[in-house]
Amino acid sequence: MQNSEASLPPVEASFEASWPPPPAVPTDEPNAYLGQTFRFQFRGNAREYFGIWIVNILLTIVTFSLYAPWAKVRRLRYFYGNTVFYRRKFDFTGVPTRILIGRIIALGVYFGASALAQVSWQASLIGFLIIFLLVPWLVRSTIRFRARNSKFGNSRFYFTGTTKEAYILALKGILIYIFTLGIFFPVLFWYFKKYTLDNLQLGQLRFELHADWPDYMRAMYVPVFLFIGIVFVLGLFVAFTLQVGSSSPTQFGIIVAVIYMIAAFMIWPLMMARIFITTWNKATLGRSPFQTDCGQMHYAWIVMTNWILKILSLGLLSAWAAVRLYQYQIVSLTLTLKNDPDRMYNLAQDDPNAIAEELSDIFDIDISL
Amino acid sequence: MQEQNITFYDGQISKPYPATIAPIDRETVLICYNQQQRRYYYADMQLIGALGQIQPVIELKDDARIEFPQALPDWFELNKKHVQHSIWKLERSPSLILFSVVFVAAFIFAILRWGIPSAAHYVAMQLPADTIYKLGDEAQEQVFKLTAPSTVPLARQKQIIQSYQDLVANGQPAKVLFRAGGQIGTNALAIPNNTIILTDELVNLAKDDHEIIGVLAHEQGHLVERHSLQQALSSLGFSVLLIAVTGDSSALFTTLPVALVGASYSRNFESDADLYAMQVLDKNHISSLHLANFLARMEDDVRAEEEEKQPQGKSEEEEEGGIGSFFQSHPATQERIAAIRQFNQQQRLSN
Repeated sequence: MQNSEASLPPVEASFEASWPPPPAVPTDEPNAYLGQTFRFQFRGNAREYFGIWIVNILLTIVTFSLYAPWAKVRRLRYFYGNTVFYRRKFDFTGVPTRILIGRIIALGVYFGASALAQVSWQASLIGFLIIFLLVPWLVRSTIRFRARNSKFGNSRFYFTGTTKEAYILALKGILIYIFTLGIFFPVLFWYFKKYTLDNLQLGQLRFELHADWPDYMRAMYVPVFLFIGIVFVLGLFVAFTLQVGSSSPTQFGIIVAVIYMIAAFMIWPLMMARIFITTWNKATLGRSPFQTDCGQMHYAWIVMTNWILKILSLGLLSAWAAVRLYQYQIVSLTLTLKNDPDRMYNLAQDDPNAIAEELSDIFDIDISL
Repeated sequence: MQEQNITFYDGQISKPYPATIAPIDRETVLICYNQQQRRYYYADMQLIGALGQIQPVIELKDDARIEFPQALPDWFELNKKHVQHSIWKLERSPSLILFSVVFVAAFIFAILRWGIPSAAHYVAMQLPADTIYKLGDEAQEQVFKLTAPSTVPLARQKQIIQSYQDLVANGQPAKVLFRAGGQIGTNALAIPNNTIILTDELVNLAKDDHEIIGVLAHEQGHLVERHSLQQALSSLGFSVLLIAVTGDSSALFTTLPVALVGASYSRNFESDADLYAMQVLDKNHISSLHLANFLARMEDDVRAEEEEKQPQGKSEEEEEGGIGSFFQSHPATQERIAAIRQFNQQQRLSN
């Protein structure tokens, strides 16, 4: 058994002296934890997850993809269930059979749309338009389903964002994007993060994102400017050395391609890192603030090398790469407790169906930001 | 001892209680926590089995939750527990994990090697012939930008087109165009809007008209087999597979492997087109060695040009098999020539 305890950074006040813990007994002195900072921990490891991941693929193949919902639940559960805070685990309680039904309906819609495309291009255009118009609803339903089936201890997450809000935000986002010629695209990220976090509840406690849109402008434009600077210096260097040798259009083409590759490799991971840091340093749950101490360069390095290693290993290192990034994110997080984690309500709610989540899965709408 | 320690959440607040669970009869269990008792039916339980080191959990109808500190006790009657337990064991046993790796690798290899190409071939042949004509028109425009109007005399052009119509077209005539090569040099292109482009350099390099017929037949093969469409379809199929396995859909991560595998498919298309050309030549009683000769001359020509540019640097011709040749984009010309010679010999033996 591999224990990640040794490699963890020092925790301000650790409740994790022994593992597995005895059934949790609340401390005798109430409020002993108040104002104290606790770190999130991740107990999974790549070796264990590799077994789950490869068996998921095997069973999905053998069952002609009928197993896919179970695979999905097991994957999510592995990450949630091994995430520990204040001696309580997270969990994902989505029921695979219900997801399977959602998936079958989604497939039906998909094939319906494809069949429509065979009739005429106008019909397929209308189908495409309908799906496009459904996107805000799909996104909202997906977040809602995911939240409702996520637990911390035994309190459920709950998403209160309305469909109307989702459509208004989508419209605002599109207008801003068009009228600023795309320059203000980080504002769209800000809208999305704010919509997801400000409407998220754990028990009766509400998440809140205190970041403002200029924070996201900074998060996403610093990598761009950094990159422009690097390209400028490199360009000068290349221009100088090429003067000495002989330059040809093909050489120039190769240089442009290399610079483009570096751009894609560097800018996006750094943006991801900075968005993560900006979000979690400005988020609160009830009165308790989150903090993350992850380094942007370290984070970007992990994303970048994950890509490279996945390609070099022909996908075999995917499981390891997923654990590596998730562990880095989770272990960097702390929460300063100002609410009692024993006094959160369960907040039972009606069960939104899985259809929307599965629809957005089939149509490959990536909302994992 | 049938009683077992558990952690119990009462379904109202998030506080975990240390509790015990014990059987009452075959349908119900008793839970004691915090000086209280609750009775639950198996029918009201949703078992979430163990996963890695996460122990089994039971979600109850009233939103209460039971967390077991170890595997489910033997007396526990929930009938789903065996299935869940065997999957859990499967995920943890090294030999089965190894088997899964080998099976999945073999499966993916088979899909890549045979599944995707034959599916792409089937779909490409089902689709209407003009599916990617628009794309072809755009490609043609690009080629026109890179090249210049031809200087081959019109009479010669007409003569070549005539022999193409007579010997190669076989009821599916394509438009044959001539261009001065410029940046693309000695080349022949099959463009999916049913067009074949020959460069002046290629026409001039040929020492025998049969060689040009061979090249035209090769390009005709690309068009008849709809290789461009097949290429597009197989790339699409492969990226879907890739995303399904790795769960990563970021643009960069998918484009590179897709490009690599696409290159390997295009290699197969080249040999397919060669085969098509050889059959056309054979039908017209032209020796397929003409095509081999032309390929050899073309390679000599390219090498000479390269050496002119950088006399000391030898061009790195990789001629290894295995993975290297699977990922090689341009088919090794030597390999193609050898294949043609072999075909030629077989033909001679069978006649």
